[in-house]
Amino acid sequence: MNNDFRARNHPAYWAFIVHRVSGVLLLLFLPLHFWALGQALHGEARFDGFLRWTEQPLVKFAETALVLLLAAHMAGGVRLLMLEFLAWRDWQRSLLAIASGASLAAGLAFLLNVV
Amino acid sequence: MQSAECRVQIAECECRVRFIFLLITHHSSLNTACERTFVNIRSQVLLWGAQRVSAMVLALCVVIHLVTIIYAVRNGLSAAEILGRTRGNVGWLAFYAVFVAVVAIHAPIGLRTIVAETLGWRSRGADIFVLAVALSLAIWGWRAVWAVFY
Repeated sequence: MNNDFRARNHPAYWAFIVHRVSGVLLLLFLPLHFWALGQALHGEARFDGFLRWTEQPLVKFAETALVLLLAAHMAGGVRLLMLEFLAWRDWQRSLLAIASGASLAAGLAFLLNVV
Repeated sequence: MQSAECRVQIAECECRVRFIFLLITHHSSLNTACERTFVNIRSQVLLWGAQRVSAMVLALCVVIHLVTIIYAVRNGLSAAEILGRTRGNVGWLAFYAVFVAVVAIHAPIGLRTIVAETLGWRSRGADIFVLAVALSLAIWGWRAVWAVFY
């Protein structure tokens, strides 16, 4: 383990990695999402056909991961905005924990509703 | 009574604001100093601002989107249920049109930073690529919005 890694191995660094990776993955997912919704242009039946495909367990698992990524990117982004634009207060140290908790709660709420 | 750490943080914030102000007011001389910069300093500050303002709008849009998703999937998704909510509904049309527009601003600026910092791709080509991503997202996204409205 080199010194570079030890210097970076702290929660704020991992928050930075999660924010970047989730951002890239969400950007890659968007064209697929837009394509799926565009199926409605070809009629309700075709759109329904696609939605039936999404009922597979693996797809639902992937959807849960996407909801988690979206919530994590949003909560992490709000944390960054608060750090950048609000005057520093001690409670902002807890923002990372609050952001993680809110993301997991959103992911869990989706999972419980979708299964 | 502010702690020493708090005072340091406030000083850092003030320093950052002054730096951004300096970038805006002295961009022409800084541009001369940064010959390798393909997008001028003023534009970079504007991109930074656009990224933050779009993030603020997106935070609201994403909360509404997440609540809608979690609510909508509780009985399984069907075309009739989704289109019943969105077809002919000008409110949802406006919401999703703004959502797509803001995503098309926010995501490509973030991508531009990542390709520059992670891949070292800083050139006019990178800026053209990112602009193409922005336009594709906007057109492709608005097409999807129209598909569920019309």
